[in-house]
Amino acid sequence: MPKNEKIKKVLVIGSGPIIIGQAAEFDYAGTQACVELKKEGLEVVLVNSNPATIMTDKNMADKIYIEPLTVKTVKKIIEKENPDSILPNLGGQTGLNIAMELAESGYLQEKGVKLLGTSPEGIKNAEDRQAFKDMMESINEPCIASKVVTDLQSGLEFAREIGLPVIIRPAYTLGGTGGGIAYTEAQFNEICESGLRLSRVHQVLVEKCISGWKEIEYEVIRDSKGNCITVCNMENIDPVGVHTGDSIVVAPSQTLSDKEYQMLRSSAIKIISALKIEGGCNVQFALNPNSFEYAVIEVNPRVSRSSALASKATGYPIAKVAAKIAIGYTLDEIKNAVTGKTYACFEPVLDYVVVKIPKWPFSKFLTADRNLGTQMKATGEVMAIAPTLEAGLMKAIRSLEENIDSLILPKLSIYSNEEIREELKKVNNERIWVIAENLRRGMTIEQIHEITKIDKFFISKINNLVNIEKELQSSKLDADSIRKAKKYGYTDKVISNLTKARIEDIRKIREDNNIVANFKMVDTCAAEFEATTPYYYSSYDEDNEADKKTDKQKVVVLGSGPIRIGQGIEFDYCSVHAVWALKKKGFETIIVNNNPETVSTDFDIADKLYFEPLTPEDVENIINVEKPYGAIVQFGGQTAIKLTKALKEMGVKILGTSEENMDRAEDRELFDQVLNNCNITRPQGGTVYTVAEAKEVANRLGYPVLVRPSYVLGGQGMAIAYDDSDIEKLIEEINKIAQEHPILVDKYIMGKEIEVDAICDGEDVLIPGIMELLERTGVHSGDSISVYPTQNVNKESADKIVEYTKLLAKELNIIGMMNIQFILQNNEVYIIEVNPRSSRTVPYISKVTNLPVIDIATRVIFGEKLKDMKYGTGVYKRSEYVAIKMPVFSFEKIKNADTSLGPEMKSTGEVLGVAKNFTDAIVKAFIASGVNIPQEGNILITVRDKDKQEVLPLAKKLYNRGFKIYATKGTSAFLKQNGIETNVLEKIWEGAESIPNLVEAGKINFIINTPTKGKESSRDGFKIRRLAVECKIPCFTSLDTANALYDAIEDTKTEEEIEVVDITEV
Amino acid sequence: MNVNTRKLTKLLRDYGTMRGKLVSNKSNLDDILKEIKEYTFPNVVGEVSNKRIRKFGEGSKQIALIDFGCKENIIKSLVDRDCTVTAFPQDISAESIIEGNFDGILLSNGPGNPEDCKIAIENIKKLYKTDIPIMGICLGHQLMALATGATTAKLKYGHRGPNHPVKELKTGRIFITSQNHGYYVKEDSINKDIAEVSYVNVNDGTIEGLDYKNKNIFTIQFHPEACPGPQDCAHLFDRFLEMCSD
Repeated sequence: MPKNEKIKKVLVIGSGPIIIGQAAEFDYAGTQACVELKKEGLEVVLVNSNPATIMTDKNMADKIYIEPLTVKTVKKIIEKENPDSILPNLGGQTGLNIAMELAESGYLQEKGVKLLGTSPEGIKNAEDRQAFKDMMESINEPCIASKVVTDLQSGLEFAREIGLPVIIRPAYTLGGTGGGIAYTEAQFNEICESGLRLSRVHQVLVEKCISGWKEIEYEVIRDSKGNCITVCNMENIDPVGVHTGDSIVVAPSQTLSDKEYQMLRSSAIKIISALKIEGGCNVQFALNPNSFEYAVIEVNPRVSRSSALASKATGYPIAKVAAKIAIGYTLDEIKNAVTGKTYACFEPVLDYVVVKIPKWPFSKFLTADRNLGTQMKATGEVMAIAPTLEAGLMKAIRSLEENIDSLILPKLSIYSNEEIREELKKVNNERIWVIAENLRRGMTIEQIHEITKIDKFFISKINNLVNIEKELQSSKLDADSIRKAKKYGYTDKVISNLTKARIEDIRKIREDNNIVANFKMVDTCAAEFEATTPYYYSSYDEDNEADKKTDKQKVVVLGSGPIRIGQGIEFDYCSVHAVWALKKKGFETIIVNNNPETVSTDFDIADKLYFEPLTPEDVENIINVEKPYGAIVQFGGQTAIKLTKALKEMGVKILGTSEENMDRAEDRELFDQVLNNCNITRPQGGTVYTVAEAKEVANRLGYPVLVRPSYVLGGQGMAIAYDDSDIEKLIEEINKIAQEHPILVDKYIMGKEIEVDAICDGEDVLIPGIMELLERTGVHSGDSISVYPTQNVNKESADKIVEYTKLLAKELNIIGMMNIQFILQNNEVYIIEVNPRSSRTVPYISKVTNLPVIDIATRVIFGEKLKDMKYGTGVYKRSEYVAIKMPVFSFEKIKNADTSLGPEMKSTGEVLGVAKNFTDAIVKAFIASGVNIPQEGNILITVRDKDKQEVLPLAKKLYNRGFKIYATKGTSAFLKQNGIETNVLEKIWEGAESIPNLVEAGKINFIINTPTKGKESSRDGFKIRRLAVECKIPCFTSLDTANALYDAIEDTKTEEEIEVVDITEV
Repeated sequence: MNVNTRKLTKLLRDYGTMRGKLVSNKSNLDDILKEIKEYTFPNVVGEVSNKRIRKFGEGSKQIALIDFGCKENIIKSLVDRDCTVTAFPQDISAESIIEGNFDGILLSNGPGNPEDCKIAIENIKKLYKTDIPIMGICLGHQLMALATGATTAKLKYGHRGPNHPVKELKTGRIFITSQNHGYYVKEDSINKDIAEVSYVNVNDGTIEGLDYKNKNIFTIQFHPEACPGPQDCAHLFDRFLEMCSD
C-alpha cells in the first residue's frame, strides 16, 4: 500500500524532558520520524517541552512548539494548527498517554484528527493491564498469574492467594515507577500503596514472582497489511526481576536454542498481530530455563528504549520504518537504508555481539539505594559491539567512564572470602564485578549460578576474562598472549597493570607483530549483501573494512558517551550540529560515540560512525586507520575534553581552542594568572590535596567555602562546607577516587549567578545571550531556573559581563565555544569558572535566539571570521520573548536520594517556557516541569534558622493571598511573631496532623524546606523531602525557586489563556 | 576457533559458491588445494537418502514422502498433523507409490543439482499425471518443475539463512522463511498453462513457490518446516493436508 495521500499535516508529540526511564532515545526516534515525514512532503507540527533535543530544531519540522506536554496545551496547538493526523507512537509514554487521552475523550474525532499507526483500541489492549491480560488469554498466550487491583486490601488478598514473593507493577507509569518485589506483607503494603498513588489510573498489577527465569525481548514491526518481522531479540544477563532498563543486555540472545527462539518469536508475532500494531512494538518474555514454559511480561505498543538499542545493534532504523508505516507504506515498499539493495521487510542477522550496560547515577546520590529491581534507576546506557561477548563486555565497561576498565573493581579486594560471597546475593550495580571477584577467589561457575540464577553461559564468559587476567599475571608477555588478550577486549593499560610491563613495551610488541585493531561493518546482513552505510566497530580479527577511499579531508567529532546527570542530551545536540556544519564545509565527518540512545549514533548523521568506547586507546585505533586532518573536542562535553591531551600525543590537530589554552581555563593556578592578566576578580581560594591543606585554606578564607575537584562536569563532588567537619567529609569523599588534579577550595560568595555562552574567532566575540539564574550561587547552574533575556541585571553589570567575556575569550585564545559563569553581588562581577567548550545551555539559547550557534562556532574553528558573517559581534539582539529553562528531576526513581539542591547537579532533564513576558513564561515552565500552580490551598513551610527572615516576605504574600500555612514548631513561632497565622505541627511524624498524614491525604500543595546545612541534611528534613517526592508534591529547597513559583501564582492566567508560541517564528 | 566467518561470507558473496575445507594447519597448502579442486560428490542425493522404507506416526492420513535427504522436521510436521508418513528412498518407482494408495505425496528437500536426479524426475512425471495431491519442498520443488518442463539454474551464492523474505503474490503478504538452496527454477522457463508463480523472493525476485494449474500440487523453494528458522509458513502443511482430504 503506498502512502496515504489524505495525510497532509501531521502533529508529532515528543517525549518531554529527560527523566529516568525516558531519555534521549525518543529524540532519536522523533528526529528520524520528522525527517521521514518531511521527506514525504508532509507538513510537520511538533510539540515537545524539551529544548535540548535535536527534534525541536528549526529544520526538523515546519512548526515547532516548545510547550508543556499536557492535554490542554496540545489541544490549543491542534486548534491553532488544524493538523489532519497525530503521530503518537514515537514520543515515548508521554506522547502516547496524551494522544490516548485526546482519543478516548472523543476530542480527536470531534476535530477530525486521525491517530496514525496503531488504533486507540490496540494501544489500550497493550497498555491497560486487565485488557492486556484478557487479550492474551483469548489468543492463548500465557501471562504470569496476576490481578489488577485498585485498592490495597484486595491486592493483599490476591498476594496471599498466589503466595509471596509478588511483583507490583503500577499501570501507566514510566520505567515502572513505583513498582517493586515484595517478599513480606509489610513490603507489600508499602510498595502497593505507592504504586497505586503513582498510577495515572490508580491501578497496579500484582503478579507472581518468577525471578530466576530468563528475560528475553523481541523488537517487532508490523504494517497495515499484516506483515510482521522481528528486528532482533535481546537477552538480559540479569534474570527476571531487574528492570530491563537496569539490566545488562546482550543482542542477539546467547543462550536460547532455535526451538526456544522460534517459540518466542512466533508468540511475539501472534501478539502484535492480535493487537493490530502498525509500527514498532516491543514484547518482553520470561522463559523458564528448565522447560519450554514461558510468559509474556509486557508489550510496549510504540518505539522504546529497547527499539533504539535494537536499531543501533542491528543497523535497522525502526523509528524511520515505523513513521513510514504510519503514513501508509508497507514493509515490502520500504528500502533497507543500510544495504540500499534489500527491503525493510527482512530480519537482520548479526555476526557480532552487542552488549549494553546501564549508566547509573549512584556516584551523584551517595545516600541512594543501589539495589536493582523493577524500578528503573539508570539515567543512560552504553553499548559495545565486538566479535565476542567477552570483548563486548570489556568495551562496554570502559565506555561507562567510571574509572574502571576491566572486571577488577579495586574496592572489592578488601572483602574477605565470606564477605564477597555475601555480596553475591545483592542485586546491585556492581554485580558483574562481584561475580568476577568470586571466580577469582575460586568459586565455581555452578555455585555462582545457584546464588545469582544468571545463566552459566554468561558466568563462564566472565570466567574466561578472569582466566585471561590470570594468564597475563603468570605467564611471559609475548605476542601470543597479547594477541589473545586483545581479542578478549583488554586495553594495553589493563594488560600493563596485570603484567607490570610498560605500556610502551606492549605497544612495541603489538607493532612488531601487527596486532592492530581492524574495523568491521554493521550492515544488517552479516556481509551477505554489500552495504553502503559505513557504521563500524573494532575487532582484532584480520581484514579492515573501514578503508573506503576519500579525497576529502577528514574531521573527527568526539561524542559525549552515556547520558548522565551533568552531561546529557545537550552535548549530543552539539556534536550532531558540528557534524552537519562540517559536512557543509565539505569535510568527511567521523563521529565516535558509544551511546545507543542518541541521534549522533544514527548512521545517517556522520559520513562514518565508529561505535567505540571513548578512551585514548580506542580512539587512537580509529585515528590510525582514518588519519584525520584534525579532531574537534569542544562539543562532546567533558568526555571529549578529557581526550584532548591524548589526541595531541597521537599527533592529531586539536581544532579550535588549543590544548594549552584549555588547560589554562581548567587549571586553577594557570587560571588565576589569566584572571590577573585580565584584571578580573574571582572568589578567593586555593588548591589543595589533603584535608589538612583544605582546612588551612578554608580557615584563612573564612567559612562557608565551596569545595570541588577540578576537571569535572555537573559539579561532581562539589559542595559548600560550613565548618571543619564538613571539609573532612568532603575531601575524603573526593579522594576516594585518585585525583590527577588538585581540589579547589573557594570562598563562597552569595549572589546572583549569570551564565554566558560565547563564540570567539580570535578577534571578535559573539554572545548569543546573557542568562540569569533564579537560584543564587550555591545551587548548580544545571539545577537552576535559567532566564533569557536577563530580567534583573542593570546595564552597568551587563556591560561588565560582556567586557569580561571579551577579555577572557581573547586572553584564553578561544576559537569556537566558551561558557562563563559569573556571580553578581552588589554590582560587583566575579568569575566562577570558564569552560572552554560548548555547554548545556547552547541548544536552548540557539533556539530562543534563532542563532545557529554550533554552526557558527564550527565555521569559526575553520578560520571564518564573525565580522564576515551576518550575525554581528558583541551581544546578539535581545529576543522579544522570554525563555525560561527549568530543571526536571527524577528523584522518585532513586530511592533515598537527597532532593535538596546544592552545588552538585541532580537534575536529569529540562523544559522550556517561552512567552511574551516573564510571568507567562514561568507559568509555562512550571507546568511543563510537572508542577501544579495552585491558586489556593495549603503550604508547608519548614526552614532552617538562617532562612527564617528571608522566607518571611514570601510567607506573607502567600498568606495574604489566602493560602493556609502549615509550619513546623520553630518556623511557626517565627511566622506568628511576624503576624502570620499558621497551623503549627507540634510533632512532625505523629498525630492526625502529622506531615505524612497531611501530605499523603493530598492536603499540602507544596512544601518549602531548606536543608539545615550543606550535605549533612537533618534526618527530619531529609524524610520530609523524600515524602514529598513519593507523593509527587513539589518541595522547594531553595527560597529562590519558591519565589519564582509565587510569581507564577500571581500571574493568574490559566494554561488555556497563555498563548502557544511557534518558535520558528520567534 | 577463530574462523573469520565474515571474511568467508564476503569471499562467497564476491566470488560465488566454491568448495572449501576446514583445516587446522596450512603448511601443506598445495596438497589441500589439489584435494579441494579434485573433490566431487557424485550421486549426492543417493548418498543422503535413506535406503530403507521407513514409517512414522499412526495418523489417519497416509502420506508418501520421497526422501531426497529429508529434514526430520518435515516428517514431524506431518506426524503432528495426524498423518502416517511412509518415507521412501529417492529412487523408488512411481508405480510403487501409486499402488500404495496414499492420500498425498511429499517431495522432500535434498542437496545438489536437481538436474542430476534423473530417476526421480522421470518418476515425478508419472506422479504428476495422477490425481494424488503433491507438496514439494526445496529440491522437491525444483524436481517437480523439471518434471513439467521448466529449467533450473545455479544462484551465485545461494539463499541460505533463516531470514529470507518471500512475498505471497495472491495476497501481497510477506513471510520470513528459512532457506538453504543453491539452485532455482527459472521464471522464463515456466509454461503458464502448467504452473503459476505463488511466491517470490523479496530480495532478488527469484521464484519461491509454484502452484500447478488444475492439479492438487504446490511446491515451495523455502522450508516451511523451519528448524532452524521461523515457523511463519507452517500453515502450508495444513494447506497440503486439506488437499489430501478432498
